[in-house]
Amino acid sequence: MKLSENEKILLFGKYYEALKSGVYNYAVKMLSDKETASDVMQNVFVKFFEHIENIREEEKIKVWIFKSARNEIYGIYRKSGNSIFSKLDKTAIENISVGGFPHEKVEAAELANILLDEVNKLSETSREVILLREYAFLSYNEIAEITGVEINVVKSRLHKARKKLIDKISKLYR
Amino acid sequence: MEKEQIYNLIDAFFHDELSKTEESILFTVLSENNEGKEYFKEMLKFSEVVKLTSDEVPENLDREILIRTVKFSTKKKRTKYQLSYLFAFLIAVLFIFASFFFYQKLQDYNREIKEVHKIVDYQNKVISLFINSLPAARVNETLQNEIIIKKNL
Repeated sequence: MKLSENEKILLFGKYYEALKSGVYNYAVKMLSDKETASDVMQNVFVKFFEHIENIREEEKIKVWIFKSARNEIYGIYRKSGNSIFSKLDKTAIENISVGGFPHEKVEAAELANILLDEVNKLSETSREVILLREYAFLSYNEIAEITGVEINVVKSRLHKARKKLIDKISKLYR
Repeated sequence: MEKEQIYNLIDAFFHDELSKTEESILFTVLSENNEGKEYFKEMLKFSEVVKLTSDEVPENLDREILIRTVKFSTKKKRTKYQLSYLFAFLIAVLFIFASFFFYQKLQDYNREIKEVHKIVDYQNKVISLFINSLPAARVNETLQNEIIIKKNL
């Protein structure tokens, strides 16, 4: 894509606004560390701005950004030698603003806590698929392209992982 | 409709991937399918909890990214200008060196021509001297050898 400086900024803004939450949540929940996730996010989006003209089709931008984030995250794991199954950051739970009554807030926090614990227990591949689908709102095709597996594998991993999580949550609120 | 298909439709619904027509198909199916209805409720609860655990991007991170991209953009512009200035400067330096080189060459040729000129002058003088130092030629007026012409009949 040949773009002027203004077009580059507009395109960057459009994709940054649309994907920032997904990328941030994916990075935070994969790395369990907000500071490192912030660094990843900065690197990913600055790299995106630098290479915005090299991405041939606009439709590929979303996949490009998440692939780039994935490479950064796995690069950090390779460097630090840490397990990907480290404890998830639960600060999101502290900021829960739901319901008018205290018991509703407690219940919501408990459910959120359980969900994060269960996500933490998932295998690396299932955890990644759940994060990309539920937090980043990516399609099956996009997840398959990012993770480099067949679309049917994505569907099956997602279905199994989600079932596990739903079962755990259902037990609590029934 | 099969269970798998219903689950896929429900999943797609919660990810805003269904068209209006597909949505109406889903709700018609759900009205007749209790298992599907149950799964829909579970998915609803699940997506609510997912929303609760979703982290918001901190404002300072937004700012940091914006600053870094703007910095990159201006740095790139500056580098672009700096490169063109550098290129012009290099060309100018190259021309200065080229003109100095050609001036030197010209001076060398000039000097060589002067020396050659001097040598030629000197050789000219020597040749003149040689010519002048030769003895004068004597020319006899009388005929010394008689020429006899005989008639051969």
